[in-house]
Formats: sequence, structure tokens, C-alpha cells
Amino acid sequence: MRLASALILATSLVSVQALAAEATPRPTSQGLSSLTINLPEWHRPLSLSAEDGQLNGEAGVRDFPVFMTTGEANRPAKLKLSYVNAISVMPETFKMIVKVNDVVVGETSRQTAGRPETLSLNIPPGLLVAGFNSVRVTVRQSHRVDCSPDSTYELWTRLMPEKSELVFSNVSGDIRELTDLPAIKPDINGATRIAVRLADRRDSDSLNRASRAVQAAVLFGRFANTIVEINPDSANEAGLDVVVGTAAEVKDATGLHIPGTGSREQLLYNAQTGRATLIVTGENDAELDMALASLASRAQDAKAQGSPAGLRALANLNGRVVQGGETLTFEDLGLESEAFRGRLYRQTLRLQLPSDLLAADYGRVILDADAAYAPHLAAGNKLTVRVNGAPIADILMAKESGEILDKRRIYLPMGAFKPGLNTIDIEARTLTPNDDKCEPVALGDQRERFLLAGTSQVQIPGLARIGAMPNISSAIPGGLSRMSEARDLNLFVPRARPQALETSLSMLAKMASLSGQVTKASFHLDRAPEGVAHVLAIGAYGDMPEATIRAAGINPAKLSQAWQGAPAQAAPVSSLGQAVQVASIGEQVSLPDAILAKAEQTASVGSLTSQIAQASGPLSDAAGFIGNIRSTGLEAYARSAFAGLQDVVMHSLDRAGLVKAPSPELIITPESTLVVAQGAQSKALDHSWSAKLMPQVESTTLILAPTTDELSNSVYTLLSGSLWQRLVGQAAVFNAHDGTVETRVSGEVLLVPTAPFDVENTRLIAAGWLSRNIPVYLAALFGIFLVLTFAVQRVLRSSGVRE
Amino acid sequence: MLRAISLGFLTVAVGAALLLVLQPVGTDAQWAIAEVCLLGMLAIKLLNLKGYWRHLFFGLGALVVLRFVYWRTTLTLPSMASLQDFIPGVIIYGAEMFCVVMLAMSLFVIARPITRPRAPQLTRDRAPTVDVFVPSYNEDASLLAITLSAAKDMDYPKEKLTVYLLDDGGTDQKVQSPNPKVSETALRRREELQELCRKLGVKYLTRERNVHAKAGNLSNGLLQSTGELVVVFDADHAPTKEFLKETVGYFSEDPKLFLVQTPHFFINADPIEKNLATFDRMPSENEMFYSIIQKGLDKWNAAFFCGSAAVLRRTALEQAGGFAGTSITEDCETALELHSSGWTSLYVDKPLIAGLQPETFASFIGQRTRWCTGMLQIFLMKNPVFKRGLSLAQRICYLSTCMFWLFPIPRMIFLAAPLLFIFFDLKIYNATVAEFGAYTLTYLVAALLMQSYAYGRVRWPWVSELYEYVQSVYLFPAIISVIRNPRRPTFNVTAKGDATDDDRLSDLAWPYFAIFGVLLAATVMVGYRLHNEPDAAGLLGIVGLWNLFNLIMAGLALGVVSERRERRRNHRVPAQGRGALQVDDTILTVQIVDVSQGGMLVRAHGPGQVRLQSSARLAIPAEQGSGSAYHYLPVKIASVRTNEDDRMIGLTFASMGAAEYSYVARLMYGDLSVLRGIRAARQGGRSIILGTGQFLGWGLRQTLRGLYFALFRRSGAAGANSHH
Repeated sequence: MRLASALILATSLVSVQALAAEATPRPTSQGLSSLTINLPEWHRPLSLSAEDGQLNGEAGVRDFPVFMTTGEANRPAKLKLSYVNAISVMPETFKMIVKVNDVVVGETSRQTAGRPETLSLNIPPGLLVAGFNSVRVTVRQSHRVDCSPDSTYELWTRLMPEKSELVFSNVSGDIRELTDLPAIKPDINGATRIAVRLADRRDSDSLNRASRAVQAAVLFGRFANTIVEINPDSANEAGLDVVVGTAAEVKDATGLHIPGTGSREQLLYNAQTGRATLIVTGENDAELDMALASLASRAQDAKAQGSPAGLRALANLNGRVVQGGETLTFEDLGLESEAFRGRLYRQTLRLQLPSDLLAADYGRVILDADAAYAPHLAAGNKLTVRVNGAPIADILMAKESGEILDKRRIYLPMGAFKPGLNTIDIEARTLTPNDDKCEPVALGDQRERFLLAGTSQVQIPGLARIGAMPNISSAIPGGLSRMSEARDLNLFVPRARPQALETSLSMLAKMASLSGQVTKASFHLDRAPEGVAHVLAIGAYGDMPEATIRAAGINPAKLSQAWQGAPAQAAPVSSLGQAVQVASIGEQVSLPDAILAKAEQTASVGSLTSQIAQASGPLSDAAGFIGNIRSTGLEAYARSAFAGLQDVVMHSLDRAGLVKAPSPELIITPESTLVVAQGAQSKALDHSWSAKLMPQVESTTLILAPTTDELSNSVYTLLSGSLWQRLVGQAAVFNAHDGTVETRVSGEVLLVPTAPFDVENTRLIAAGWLSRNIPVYLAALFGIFLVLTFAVQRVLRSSGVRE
Repeated sequence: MLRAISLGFLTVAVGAALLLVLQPVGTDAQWAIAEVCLLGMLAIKLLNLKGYWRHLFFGLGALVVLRFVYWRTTLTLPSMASLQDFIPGVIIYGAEMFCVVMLAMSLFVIARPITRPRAPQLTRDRAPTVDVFVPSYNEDASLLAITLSAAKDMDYPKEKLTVYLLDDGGTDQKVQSPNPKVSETALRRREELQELCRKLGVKYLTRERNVHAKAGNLSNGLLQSTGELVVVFDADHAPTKEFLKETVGYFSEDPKLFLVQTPHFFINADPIEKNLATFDRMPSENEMFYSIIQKGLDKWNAAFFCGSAAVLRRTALEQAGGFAGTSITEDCETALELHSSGWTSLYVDKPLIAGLQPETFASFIGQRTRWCTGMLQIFLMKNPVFKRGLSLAQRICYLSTCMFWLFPIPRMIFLAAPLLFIFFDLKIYNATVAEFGAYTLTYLVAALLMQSYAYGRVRWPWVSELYEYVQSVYLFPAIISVIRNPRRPTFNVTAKGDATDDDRLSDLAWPYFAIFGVLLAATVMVGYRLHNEPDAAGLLGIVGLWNLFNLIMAGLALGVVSERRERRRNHRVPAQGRGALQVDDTILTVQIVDVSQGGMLVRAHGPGQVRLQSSARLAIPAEQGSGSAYHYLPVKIASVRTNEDDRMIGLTFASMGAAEYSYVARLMYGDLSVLRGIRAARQGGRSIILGTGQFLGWGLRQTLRGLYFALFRRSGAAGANSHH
């Protein structure tokens, strides 16, 4: 076995050895023409995932960070964009504008209606700089025949990843240092492939080490979308190989001798295949660990270079990371502040809040919107702000003469957010009276109707940082490791199935990319780890022990009902290559087999305070109540009055948390392809008073699929786009066929401290906790007041003139 | 020791409570807190629970207010970035916080009002000597005669009671004035009053120069008298017979007592009550102070001297150097000085005098300006916070009393604030509609409930706001002038007994019309904007309602400045008693209905011719030990009205001598039980809902009345004066 793998390693690396000897091109001269090497055109594909490449709605925009090595930058280049439009896009009004580093390099008005079209633009030399650059594609599209806002969901332009690329001549992209890792070419789906070369995949130590190296590589390379494989056959594809072992092991496996002594690493690169190899080594295990530690810390500290636009695009890639207290402009967050000419304006701001955020109403995110809308629009237009899909606030845009909104304040209570990726959708309906009748004049109306300026701001308040379990939304952004004291993560992959291991490594890679930290993962392959606080279990249903399933809060009987008979390793389903287009929040996508998803996903996307969406206060209840009176007769009036009163009372009680709506049961059907669940319980390890106050919390997070193929398929689908953001609450069920996510939110929450003691943080946590446990708060408050009144009475009676 | 423990416990409890209350817990939690508090308060109020529950009621109210303050301070202030929003925002915030602080202080003051036991009754030989001072400036002789007679008639050993008339209208300075008119009036007054005093057996005092107004006058009286106790009655505050019996005894119990204050009680309506025609139904404005606040102050040994209807200890006054004259409210200032020297005071909640309050709107404003100016002078020049010798409770009480008079500032700010939003669209309040409801609305409801619970019996809903608004228009400039120069503001003596002859608009009316106009324009603007800008509906609606409330108050004020004709020159005091009316040859037994300075109304049974304008004689039974069985009052028949079996006969007094005045005084003021009964009958509360409805109704009616007066009665219709 070792020999075989050694042979594989050897063959794949031979070419590396050979080409490493290639020198830079020599100048041509007569007679030596055979020795000149004319370097071919160098292609740098844009790293587009399926979701990234889709521009929906009347004004779609995408900002891609593209990494240029020093060699590539400052060279003349051509940008090739291959795109396809929906048929419903009106050709006359279609426009696609391409900007590189915020400078317009070209535009097109050619609507393609089904056949991919390639736009080829010259990029002037000097525009691209070394490091990260931004390629920004903006489309303006309107519907051919329909003037309704809903029809805008049918509009899309898709950029084809396999043909969209930057082309350079007379240059080669060399990956010489770790900071050049972003230059690794992605595969046709926009994912970066990392191959871990392991001698024995059942050895948990080598898995642990390999995972750390992979995460470090992900951090250096700033890969958003990573697929990690173990010993694949990919010698001639672009990607990264990772080899971790002592010098002797590396020599045995690859035949390479890495120069130097002590802890060291080496990066090798094959320009022809585009494959890089990262080797981390030392003389012995201790040095190996030191090497990995050094690599990890350098990876965490590495600062990205590039143009301001490029760095901005990079920062917004996974949602802008905020820690609390920042004020950002919409422009920083990638908003396109071009005048909008359509009927339904939709832009999304993505914020990545800390994974140990306590989402409760102790503060609010403040949007100060600078916007303007044109005169003579229809009545009933409004600007709606949604947080994670739930509408929170709206502004009516009903002035006949148009209006300029100057820093109009919109409050988004903290309770509407969640740890990890949050989306703030800003949606504006801008219909004109003509859109009602929808004559050709109206269809072609390209008047500017609305503008949301980039100077608008988002203010994030101080955030309370404490882990709350169960809450699966904090798992992916790296929350689990924060919960443990040692900042490590225990992974349980039963039976060490290769696909499950690969999925785990890919998941660790995504965690690293989101959290910016290298998690010290420990793999447990034989049985569930004992004596550890937090466990992440990944596997197929057939392999996972029942105890683990129960610990995650899932009833194994339900699973067996749904997935009965699915063997752990079924025949390979459609390979990862086929990009399944999935719907993100608020976006409508037509699936390849013409199943249209609903305009708004039905999943109960809730944050931990799931009542936010309906909460609009008893004022509106009263208003509705009065409305009832007006429209009915006397008996009906009495009935509706009673019902209204009952509503108000129930609403108050419900809001106060005194009456809890029963949480819905999680439905697992045979079509469900993934279950993500977290179960937490408190356990007092010792009897000290601090343990009683803040008991130790144990948790098990489970990622389970019927088969290992579906496991890797579903997890990849979730992680590659922004679907993973939909995982909230205690458990979620994902169905890869139609892309739906159903969640269950648990009322009981255990708190796990994640940050050192800090007065401000403790205060916010206390406030957040109190605001979510209103009955307790009320009891404490009024208890204190009753006692206080008694004390006051005593003091008053004994003061002043005796009575 | 026990007290220290109690205080410590209280501090800990307060700390824990604050810790729980001052948390940013979001709107849902706030609704829950506010709802529970308000329901609790409502329950306590409706069930009329007392004792511990009263404290709990205010505690719950304080909780809602605290939550409001916390939210307002941390989350709603506009940012400093835009100064045009920030400055007005901070000003309005300041006004609101002022109101909260005043509320807190007033809750402290009325925490536990006390009722004193009755004064011990002293035997004749232990009774101290008493000097009664009646300071006067320009009141007319017949009024003074009644007051002096009543004072002379008080139940007390005659040898220990001396009554002095301190006349500042006949000083040497005036008599020797270079202006012949002034000197002649002064001289005539001096002579007339000296004659009156001689007849009544009262001492006449005057002084050389008019310095320090009333304070100087009283101090001069001190110098020229010797009684151990000093009683002060204003010229129109006539005492009842039992006045001294109910007050003097306290001085023997407590050697450190310097003051026994009794309530001011008025037989006539103030201009607001008169012009709104509420005098008979609604408790008077001063009831709140005299029925509740003074009793609360008394608990903290901070009941202060109100200038009249009080007994003071001479030694205390002498120690303070006489009546204080730095401010123009010398009464409160004197009390402040004496309290800080360790003297104590007490308050007797029993009306023992009956007096007159200013009739016309102008004189009402003049009086209030004087009080406001004086109190602010004390605040600025002798601030109770820094005065040495006061207890903490006394400091808070005096501070509350003085700072109360700053009310015009927040009231004017609250008038102007909605206008800023309505006309200029300034975003002075950073809040959503839901938050506004959860915090501000609940705070207002809690404040309203607290107001109603504490003062409901003596103050109808929204009446405080009306009085404040009406006074604010003219007090606001007065405050500015005091702040600019505390030592020398202008001083206006209130004119009492000033009757209005016509239904006419007060001279001071035009600012009220101006404000009403602006508010009306704002209301129209609100309607217009609501129509055009549906998106501002939430905030605009709230501000519009606020403005509407101001508008209703302004409309009511229009009614206030439309002076009603006072058909009677002299005010009547309901009285009881029997008498015999001798008209020509007929003798009728009559029952006395009411008595005034100028005449009487009697009810006659039985037959007998009574001719109008004929002279008659009314015989009333004399009091014991007076020598004769009857006293005779010469009268003239002024009116006869038949009422089924009875006849109501109106009489005017013919020539009155000193003796006659004393009979009349005894009839009017001898026994105030009838008046007290009427006062008690008026002290019925109005529920908040009914009171609000009534307020709205008044608003509409008075606005129309005011506009009518503005159009048709600017200079007054010629109306015949009719005497009683």
C-alpha cells in the first residue's frame, strides 16, 4: 500500500522535478531559435462559482477579486467574459458594463438569448496591479413583455466560468511564494482543488496535520471555495498538493529531498499543469508540529495586497467581517450606486458577524440611507429592508414630486441577526403609473427612477460575544472551535470513509476561510471521542452510531424511516462537476430541468428570536383593531373587538415569552439529502461555584447524509454558495434536489463563554439574555421593586417628622 | 443604628434595581415591563389601596419613567454631526429631563403627607401675647374694616391680643411727596384709616419710607410691637374666630417652632375659573398646594410661610433680622432663613381665613409674575442646595418649590418642538414609531396616572397644563429678566378687588391669539403633509397629535383671556343665621343666605309688605357677653324675588360704623363651616377619561368664545354696573 501510494506520488511529482529546471525564456537569436521558448498565452480564469456567476434582476452586479502575480501585473491583458442571458431580457435595453479596479474597460449591449457570447475587452497596461484586483460586472436588464415587479425574477445573465478568464501574453504566472497561492487556477466550477497526499488515510495524526496545512494554504490563497481530496488522480490538473510529513517520510513518498534542516516548508510549482505543491516537513514530529504552527501563524497574519478595489472585493467575498462598533459605507460593502432604471431594485449587503455573536435585542444596526427617487412614480412604492430574509423596516416612497432621502435612519434590531453570514437586502419597488398598463412605451422606459448612494452607511453596535448552543449557524464560521478552551475541534468521522474525510477537510477549509483562523482539528476515526466538550460528527447514516445521532438531538427512528436501506456507499451519483444551481435568498433561478423554485423560499429562516418578523407592536394591532370596527356591523363588531383584544393580549404574552408557540417538528423525507443538527447539554464537571453558575456545556454537532456521495454533494452545494447561511437554529434539513432548507429553532439555549471577561461584553450579554428571557427579567425586576418599596417605606417612616 | 442598616439596605436595593432597569433590552422587553407596571398601577388606583401600596404605585411609576429616561438618553439623541438637528434635540431632551427631575422631587415631597393633631388648647394665663399685622398698601377702607373687625373678633383673651394696621399707603414719604396728587391721596388715606382704626380699637402704624415693600412694612411693625407671637393677615384675608385657638397652642409644645401656616382659602374665582365658569364645580388651583403639597412638605419640616394666614414667633423673626427682603417673595425667603437656622415649622390643613384672589387676568398675571420672580431670586441668590443648616430633605423640598417656577421654559419648548418638525422637518428624535409607543407613550400614561392618583381629588386632568401654559406666556420673559439681573427685577403689587365692568378681551390677550394662530397653521400643515407624504405618517401623526393638544390648550386660553363681566362688586360669602328684618311696620323673620362687604341676601317667610328702596333695619342676635341681645344693621331693600313660599330679599348696607363692620365681619367670617363644606364638595376628582373628554369640550367652546370676543368685544360692550 505504501509503495503504491509512493509510486503515485512519485509519478505525479516527476514532472514537477523536470520543469523546475526550466529557466526563464532566453532571448531569441538567429541559430538559437530552437532554444527560445515562446511562452504561450497565459490564461487566468475568473474564480466563479455557479452562484457567483449569476446576475439576477434588473440591476445585477458582481465584484470578483482576481489575483495577479507580479509577473502578470502591469502587462497588457485581455478580459474574456462568456455570458448568456435569459430569453426574457429585452435586447434593446440590455447593457453589461465591465470595470476593472473601478475603471470601465468595456461594455456591451448584446443580448444572447441562449447562446453563450464572449465579450473580449482589452485591459490597458498598468490597470492591473500585483495582488488582488477587482473585476466588476454590472448588468442592466429589463423584461421584454412584462412590467410587473415579479417578472424581474425571470431576468438573469450568467457568466460562464469555463470561458471567462483573463488572458496574458508573454508572461507566465509563477507561483513562487505562499503569498502567490491565490494565483492557483480553479477548476471549471470555480472551486480550488486541494489534494492531500496521505500515506495512510486512517492515521488520525497525519490527518490532523494535513488539515492544518490545508487550512493554512486556504488562508494564504484566500480561497472562498475549496474542494479537498485525498490522494486523487490529478497530476495534470491545476490545483494544490499538500504533503505533510517528516523529511524521511517525504523522501520515501515522493523521492524529493527538501533542503534545509529543522522545520521548513517548500512550495513547488509546475507552470505547465498549473499544479503547486506545498510540502511541510521537519526532522521529527516535534519539528513538524512547529513547522505547521509557524505556517499557521503566518497564514493568519498574512495581509492581502492589491488595488483598493481588489481588496474591497476580497473583503466582501464571504460577507464583510465585522467585530462590532464599525461604521461602513455601502460603497465599502460593494454596492453599485448607479442610477436604477427598472422596476424592482434589489441589492444585498453581506455582513459576517462573529461566530460567537449573541443575537438579542441589546442593540441595533443603524442604516443611514442616502437615496433619491424620481417624481411621478406610482403610489404604493416603497423601500424595504430585510435582514436574513425577514422584512424589518420600510420607507414609503410616495411623494409625487420625488424626494431625496438624506441619511434616513433605519433601525435593524440585533435580534434579527445571527452569527456568521447575514444578508441585508435592500429592495425598492419603483413602478410608474404606466407600468400598470404596460404598453410598449412603458416597457422601454429607461428613465432613472431610483438611486441608493454609496455614501449611505451601516453602523454596527457593540456586539455581545458569547457562544449560544444549540446554534448551527455558528458552526461553519468557526464557532465550534471558539467554544472550547483549547481552541480545538474534535471531528468524528466514523469508519474513516474517504468521501467523509474529504468532506470534513473541505469543511475545515471553509471554516478557515470564513474565520481567518487555523483550527486545530483532531480526527477521531474509530469511535466518538470521549471526555471532550464539543464534537463535530460527519458521516453517512449507515456509519454513524446511534448514540451520536441522539446526542445531536435527532430521533434515529425518524432517520431510519426516511433513509431506510440506503447503503453507506451507493453508486456514485452525478459527480461534483455538475454545478447544481441553487437559489439564494430572494433570488429566483431556473433550474436546468425547469423546476422553478418559489420566489421567496419557504424555509423558516429565523434568527433565534423568531418573532421578529411579525413584531410590529401593539400600535399596529390597535390600528388593525380599529379597522375591524369600521368595516363590520354591530354583532360582527363585538366579535371582532373581542378577537382583536384577544390578539393583542396573546401577542403581548407571546412577545413577553410567557406563551410559547410550540416549535414545529423537523421533517425528514426520503428526498432529504443532508441533516445538520446540534445538541447541547450542560454538565457540571466539578462542584465549584463558578461551575454551578456557568456550567460546562457539551455539544455534538452532526452532519449526516444517507450516503457518503450525497454527503459530499450536499455539503459542497451548501458551502459553495451562500446556502450555508440558511442553517440556523438547532437543526436543519437540506434537500439538494430542490435546494430547500428547513430549520428548527430551539427555545432552550445554553451559553458558553468564548471571550475573556470584559465589563462591556458582560453587560451586553446580560442585556441580551434578559431580553430573551422576559419572564425571568420581569420576575427579578418586580421582585426587586417590591423589596425596594418596602425598604423605602421603612426609611420614609423613620425620617422627617414622626407620624 | 437601625436607621443606618435601613439606609444601607435601601442603597443596596436601589443599586440592584438600577442595575436591572438600566439595560438595553429591546422593545419587546420594554413593552412587557411597561404593561405590567401600568396594569399594576391601574389596579392599585382603582382599588384605592393605601399604605405600602401607595409607595409601590409610585415605585412602578418611577420604573416606567426610569426606563424612558434611559432610552431617551442612550438611544434617541441626534448625532452631533448635524448641528441643526442636534441643538434643538438636546434642548428638547433637556426640557424632558427637567420635567422628570421635577417629578422625582415632587414625588419625594409628597411621599408621606402628614396631618397634625389639633393644637393643644391653652388656658388664659398660659396664652402668649399675640400681635396681628394687617399690611396694606392701597386697599379701600371698607375692605380693611371687615378684615380688621374679624381679626379683633378672634376668640382669644382680649388683653393679650393687639391688632395693627400697617399702612404703606400713608407713609411719610408719600405724604410729603412733591407730586400733589400723590401726597393728597396719601394724606386722605392716612386720616381715613386712622379714624377707622380708632373706631375699631386697632392700632394704626406707618413708617417713614417705602423700602423693601411688604417685608419692610412688616419688619417695621415688628419694631413697634411687643407680642410674643406675630400673626400676618393680608388686607383681604379675614380670619375666622377660631383662628388663634387652632394655631397658638403648637408654640407651647415646641420651643423651636417658628411658624404655623394655614391654607389660603378664597371666596372668589381666579380669572381662569371665572372666565371658564368652573368655579363651582372644579377644585381651585391652590388646592393642590394647600391640601397636599404643604402637608407633604410638613413631613420634611419644610412647610414654608406663604405671606398670610400664618402665626410666627417673634424671637425667631428677630434672630433672622426681621422679614427677609432680598427677594420679592419675602415670605418663602424668611422661612428659608429660619429653617436653615434650625427652627421648625408646621402646617395646619384647616381653612381658617377667607380671602380674595385677583379678579382680572392682568392682575392674576401680575401676581404670578411676582411669585415666579421671587422664587427664582431665591433660587439664584440663596440656592437651597448650598444653604448651610438645611437638612437634605429640606434642600430637596425648597429646591422643588423654587424650581417649580421654571416651568415656563419646558412648557414653551414643548409648544415649539412639534413646530420644528412640522414646518422645518428637523429630525430631533431618533426613534421608530414602535419605540415611541413603548417608551414615550407609556411614560406619559404613567405620569398621567401618577398625577391623577396623587392629586386627583384636587386637580382635574389637564388643568395643570392649562394653568402652566396660560402663565408661561408672560412668565417666560420674566424669567429671562430675573436671570439677567436677579437683584433688581420689577415689582407689581397685585390689585385685589379689581372688578371687571364689561365682557371684554383682556389687554394681555394678543400673545395668546398669536400663539393660537401659529398652532392652527401648524395643524393645517400637518393635515397637508399627511396628505402629501404618506410615508411620514407614523411620526407626523404623533407630532400632529402633540400639536393638536397644544392647540386645544391654546384655544382654552383664548377663553381665559376673554374676561367675563363681574356683575357684583363685592363677593359674597355664604353664611347662616337668623334675624329679624324691620321694614316700615313689618317685621319679618329671615334666614341669612349670604353676606358680602356691601350687603346681604336673606330669605323671608311669611307675609308682609316690602317696598323696594325703603330703609330697614336688620336685627341679628348678638354674641354672648356683649351687653345687648341684638345688634342692628341699617339696610336698604335692593331687590325682592318671590320663590314659591319664600321671598329672597337683597339688602345693601346703609352707613356703616365700626360696630356695624364688626357685626358684618362676624357674619361673614365668624364661622367658616359653610365655606368649608362647599370647598369639600368641590374636591371630587374626575377620572382621566371623563376629564379628557371635558377638556376637549371646553377647548372647543372656549376657542369659539375667545374668537367671538376677539372680533366683537375688543373694547368691551357698555354694560351697566349693578351693585349687589
